[in-house]
Amino acid sequence: MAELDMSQYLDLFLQEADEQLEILEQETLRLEKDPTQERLQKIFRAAHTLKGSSRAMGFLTFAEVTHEMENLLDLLRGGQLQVTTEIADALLACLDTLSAIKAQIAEGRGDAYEAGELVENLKRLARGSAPTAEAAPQNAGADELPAELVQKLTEKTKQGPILRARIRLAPDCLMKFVRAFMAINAVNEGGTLVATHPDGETLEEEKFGDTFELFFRSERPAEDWQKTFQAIGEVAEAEVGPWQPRTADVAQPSVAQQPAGVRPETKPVAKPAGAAAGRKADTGQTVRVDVARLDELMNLVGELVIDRTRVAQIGAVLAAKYDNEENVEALAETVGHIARITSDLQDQIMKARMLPIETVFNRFPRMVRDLANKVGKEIQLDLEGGDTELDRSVIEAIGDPLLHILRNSVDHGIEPPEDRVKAGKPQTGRILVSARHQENHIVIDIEDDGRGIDVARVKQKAIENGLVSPEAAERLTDKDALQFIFASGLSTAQQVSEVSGRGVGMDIVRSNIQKLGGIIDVESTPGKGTKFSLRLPLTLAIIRGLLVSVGGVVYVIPLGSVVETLLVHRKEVQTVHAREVILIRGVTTPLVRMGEVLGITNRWERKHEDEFFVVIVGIAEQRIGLVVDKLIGEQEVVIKSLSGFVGDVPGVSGATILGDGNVALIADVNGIISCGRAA
Amino acid sequence: MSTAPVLNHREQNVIFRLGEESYGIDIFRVHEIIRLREITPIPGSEPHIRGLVNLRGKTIPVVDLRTKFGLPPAEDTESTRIIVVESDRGNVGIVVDAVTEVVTVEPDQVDATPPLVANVTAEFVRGIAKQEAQLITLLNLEQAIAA
Repeated sequence: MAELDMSQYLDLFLQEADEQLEILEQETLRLEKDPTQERLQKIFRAAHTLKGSSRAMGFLTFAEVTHEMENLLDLLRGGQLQVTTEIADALLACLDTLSAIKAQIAEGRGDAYEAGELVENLKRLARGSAPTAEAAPQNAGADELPAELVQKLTEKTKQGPILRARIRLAPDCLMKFVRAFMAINAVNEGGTLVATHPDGETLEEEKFGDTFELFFRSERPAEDWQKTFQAIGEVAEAEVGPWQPRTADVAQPSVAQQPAGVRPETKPVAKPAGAAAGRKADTGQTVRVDVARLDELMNLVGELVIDRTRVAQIGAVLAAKYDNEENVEALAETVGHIARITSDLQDQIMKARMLPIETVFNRFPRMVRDLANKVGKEIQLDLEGGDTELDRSVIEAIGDPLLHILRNSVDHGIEPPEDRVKAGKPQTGRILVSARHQENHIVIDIEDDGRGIDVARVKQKAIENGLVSPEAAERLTDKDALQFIFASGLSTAQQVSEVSGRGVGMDIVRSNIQKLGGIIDVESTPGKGTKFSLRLPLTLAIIRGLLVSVGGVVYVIPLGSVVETLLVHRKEVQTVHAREVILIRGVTTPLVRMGEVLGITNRWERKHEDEFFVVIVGIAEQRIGLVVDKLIGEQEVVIKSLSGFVGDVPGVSGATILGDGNVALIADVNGIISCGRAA
Repeated sequence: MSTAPVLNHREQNVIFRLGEESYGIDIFRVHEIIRLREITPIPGSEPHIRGLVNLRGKTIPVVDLRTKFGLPPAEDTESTRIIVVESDRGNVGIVVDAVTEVVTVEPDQVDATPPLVANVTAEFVRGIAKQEAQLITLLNLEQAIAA
């Protein structure tokens, strides 16, 4: 897991630490007067939680303190020790120390902290004995250089400049000395080692946290050294800069005293907690905000967006009416300004709600690994574009569909190693999950190089399940036939495995994607692999929509579902089984008369114009043409749910308010398609 | 449905007209009264739902009480109003022919069991209030606007 970028978890850790420390403080304060079992239990849990999360983050000093706290609390809990003032004091001292370490971490200075005495004291209390004379510090972090060392180095600088390398090992580094030794070797190859901190013996015995420092002379520039150290395995962070007396006591060499080009924050291959801590102030200044409040803000901005459009329209009307009127011009200007501010505000709030898709992707490697082991396959999972951001509401909703698809790829897509070798493919299968922005959407592809989907089998299954008649199946193109994998109850797996094959899954995937207003597409080449493409809106609160008029009612079709708009001539329309279809670039696309399926207009009143507008929409894998009366234009609209009062209305997913103050309905494309199918 | 006294204490009611009848709803349930404005129909919704209106940036559904009560439809006029009331499921507008007044109804003015007096099904009615010369049907709002 060392390759994981932990920096994104830092905020979470800090938030959690805040919460747990608060609990600790409150409960510890009461503990002395009222040492109930329940209270002890609470404190123990808080300490335990902190230990776990700090370990995971690689903050070992923090973890050590909480570990000792836990030991002590366990004894108290078990009744082997009684709560005394001394113990309460010690616990509070722990709190102070933990708060201090936490503050240090938040400022990006890591968790190196002199906690030896405290730890010793806790250990002593746990033993129930009196203070020992020499509560030797177990490990004096790497921050404070012993006076002798400073003196020695100061001496040495007189003979020439000394470089200082502060190397931080990955928190889970197993052979710390080996790594330190490699670093020392590297120094000896390109320079002269002057001193180490801690000293060689301590290094050898691995009696140091995760940071050590090397002082050496070299002609090579500092950034060069930085790379050298970072190339050593399990090195989380390496900082190299000139060492000078006085400033040496400062934990981090300041930028000013470094040669140009060397930044204290480095970008190592592995970037665990250390680097995260280096991010400094931007984590110390976060505020936790309730999601509900963000939603409320988004709503308010939504209303502002509506009024902005409204004011702009009124302004335009006034401008047309009162030409050359000074105030009208001023109004236009102000409206323009408000419009800009509103969109900025909207952007900012949208951004505040954005999360990188990584938060979803991070669940995959483990799942794929475990699953591959279980089914005896070799799979390499590649994730790309994890930093692509999208609204948290979308993030929350896409995790499961993606997992489903991945699971299918592992279980059905990728062949067992023997089969792959036989087929002349590399033994290890590859699954690539990639995300990218495309206009106002996010596109997520899940691609495997497995056996592909057996179209003949899909057809056969579809026939067996009564989804299609054998004759109709004959006529289906491969691409159309593939769509049946999204039908409920259809699985082409020969056997139901523990993992998948029950035929529930792809239909759930489809319905989840549809709920989000997304499109899912599948392509498959037998023997080569399968690729699922998901296209999702970035946010669910404000969408761009295509305004159309149908029987006098204005509908907003979410642009995310719109593939294209066409002006179709009557002659182009053909009839298949009494259904109107048109051919678009060779693809047969059914037409749905929107007014008729929604019961606004009547089939018999159909006007027989020569030409009419068709909006080609794609929902999930289907393409369908909606016949509308008029195309009005494109607009950003704020989605308002239909009141619970109105209930579910077929073909309508919500409402919105247009610039002219009127209410328009948001078309539920999926619903319209289902209505059309039933008609 | 009610056998206990309809009102336990005096209550102010907003009185409105539908055709020839007067109806009253508890003033505390009334959010505001607005002039008729553009109502966007929702094709496919229940017949008594006339559509949605924009109330200062919020969309609220509007119920046509005439349809609900099985009265013949009427033309919208200058006096047609939308009474915005608070319901369990958010604010709802009801279209009425006119809003006439606000009256204080004393408990002893109300008859519990409505005789077949109004054009309205009994379940929508809390009671009938006698006010001077006129009879006012006190509406059970939740029932009257429910689907």
